[in-house]
Amino acid sequence: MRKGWFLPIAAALGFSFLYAPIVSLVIFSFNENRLVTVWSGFSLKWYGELFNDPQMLGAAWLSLQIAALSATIALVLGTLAAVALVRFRRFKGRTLFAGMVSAPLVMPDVITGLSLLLLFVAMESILGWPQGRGMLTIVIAHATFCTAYVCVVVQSRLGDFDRSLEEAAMDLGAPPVRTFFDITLPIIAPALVSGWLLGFTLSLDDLVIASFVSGPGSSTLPMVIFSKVRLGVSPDVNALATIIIGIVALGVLAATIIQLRSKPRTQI
Amino acid sequence: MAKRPQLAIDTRPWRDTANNKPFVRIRNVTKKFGDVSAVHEVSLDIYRSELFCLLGGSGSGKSTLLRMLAGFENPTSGTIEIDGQDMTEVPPYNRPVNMMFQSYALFPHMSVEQNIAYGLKRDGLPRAEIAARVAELLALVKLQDYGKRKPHQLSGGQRQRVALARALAKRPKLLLLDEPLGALDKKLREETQFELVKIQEQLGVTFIVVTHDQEEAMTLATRIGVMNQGEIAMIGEPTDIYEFPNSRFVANFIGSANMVEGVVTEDEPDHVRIRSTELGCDIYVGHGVDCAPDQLLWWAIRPEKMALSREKPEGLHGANVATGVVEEIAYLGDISVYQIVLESGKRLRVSQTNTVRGNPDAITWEEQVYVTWGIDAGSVLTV
Repeated sequence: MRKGWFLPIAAALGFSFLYAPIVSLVIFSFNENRLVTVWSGFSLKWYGELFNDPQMLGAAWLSLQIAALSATIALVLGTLAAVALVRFRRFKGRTLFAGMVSAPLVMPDVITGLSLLLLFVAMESILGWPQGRGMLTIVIAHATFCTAYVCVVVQSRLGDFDRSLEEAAMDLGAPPVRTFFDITLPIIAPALVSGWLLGFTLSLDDLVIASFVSGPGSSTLPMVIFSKVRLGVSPDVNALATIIIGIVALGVLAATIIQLRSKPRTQI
Repeated sequence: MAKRPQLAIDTRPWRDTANNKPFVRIRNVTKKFGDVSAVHEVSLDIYRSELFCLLGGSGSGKSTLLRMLAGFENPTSGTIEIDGQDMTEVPPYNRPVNMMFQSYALFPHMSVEQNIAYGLKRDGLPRAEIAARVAELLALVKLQDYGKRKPHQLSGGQRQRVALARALAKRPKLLLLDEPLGALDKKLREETQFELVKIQEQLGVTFIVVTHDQEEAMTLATRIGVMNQGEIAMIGEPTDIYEFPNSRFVANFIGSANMVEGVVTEDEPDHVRIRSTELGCDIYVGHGVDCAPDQLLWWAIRPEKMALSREKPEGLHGANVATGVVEEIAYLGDISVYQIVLESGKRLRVSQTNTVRGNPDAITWEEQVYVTWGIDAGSVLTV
């Protein structure tokens, strides 16, 4: 059978629609010219400029901290929720709980951000905690929606987990806690890693929710970029964006590889 | 391949219940899931070094019973004793029992050696002893060169042997095997059956095997417990179960059986005569049966317990001869199975050994034949 020409062309168009903007951004980050849209030669000077900008570096450091913290919190909460949903098949309000855990996946960011802001303000006036808004509130907000993603990833992994593996461990003399650390955890570890990476990337990426719940002096990287771009696109933003794309791509790639590589090994 | 009794009395303790203490005592055990009884009022004694098979279809409760012995399920009522110790409150990780799982449940992230050593490590044995024991077990299941492999690098038969070695590692008093050969192909299964019996004899461990495969149960077991809908239908040695079934269920479940309805016309201490309109003749049974005249009952006979002939045989006591026409013949090599249609429309399956090579005189399709049987060839069943 002859290969058709339609599919390759459609695929090429589709991919260029998705990735042409990103490719142009990466190319122009190496542009020497001060004007973003005019190419005048290859240069790494915007990368150099970027690393001499304390505001950018501070925001990047803050974003990384927030991403790591909220991904970790989300990992613990999401795993617990997934275990509850998969292992305790029938409990009162299970459907409600399942729906509520995954609701943040489809909730518009604006709504999540706004409602969290209202919550934090109310809590501050009633409980006196959290005082003001800043890194802590952003971490809490990010952990909330990342929990939903972690839960989905871990849930699917636990779903095809063979319970007799745990029973076998207990049968051989391991009490439940021991069984969890010896058997359950190593087997679902790939899902935990990819869940964490997913949470990390999502947190690093978020602009809308962070804008709602951040306070003075706690601007995350996306917020700084956004405010810079409003004053006109400067080439060092291109450089920064390229670096972020690189990090995110690596993270996603790592998560995928870990998931794929663990499949044949753990499913027998 | 079944265990060959060396000394009738000490290898078959269930025949002398007065002098032998059962090793596993299951007393009136019931397990309910919601309103459904998976296991209902089961009582069962199993003796030391037995290879006991629980045989039943899916949903018969055999696996649930096994899981209760392992401690993964708790009985709703009743007690389980192992070696004189009540097990009801003992969690699985403290029982002197190990299980071989149907899926093998090998830990995918551990090597074969680590899998086998897992239980020993939990017992806190010294490292050198663990290594020695693992080597010994690998030799037992003939996997000496595979210790460093991961489970996904093994074939189905090898995984099965690793699972067996792991279950035997802690030298349990009782080994539970859930469909141990279920995932193997026919050829491998037959070899492994033999291995399993050999290992069991060598170690003297008590085995309880759950299976749905009656051939497997017949080959392996010292005794079989046939389960039906959560209850034990019959307990007995393989020959008892096959030759002397106690109910229509057991007669039909094990092997194939011809079953007819009949009415008692003569009820004497030394014989019984049953009139069967389905057979179109009387059945003369050469022993007394606990029944009453005019009672409706069933009579079951195995295909190989009957004979075919072209000439009308004499019959015994004017009974035990049915007339029919050959409808189907299934040639299986060693035997041929004939399906005979009687005048009543009832079909009988009769098997004949093919003793003559390429017999030109063999009974063939559409022939009218007489079917006969001995006075003790069939079983009279009242339930």
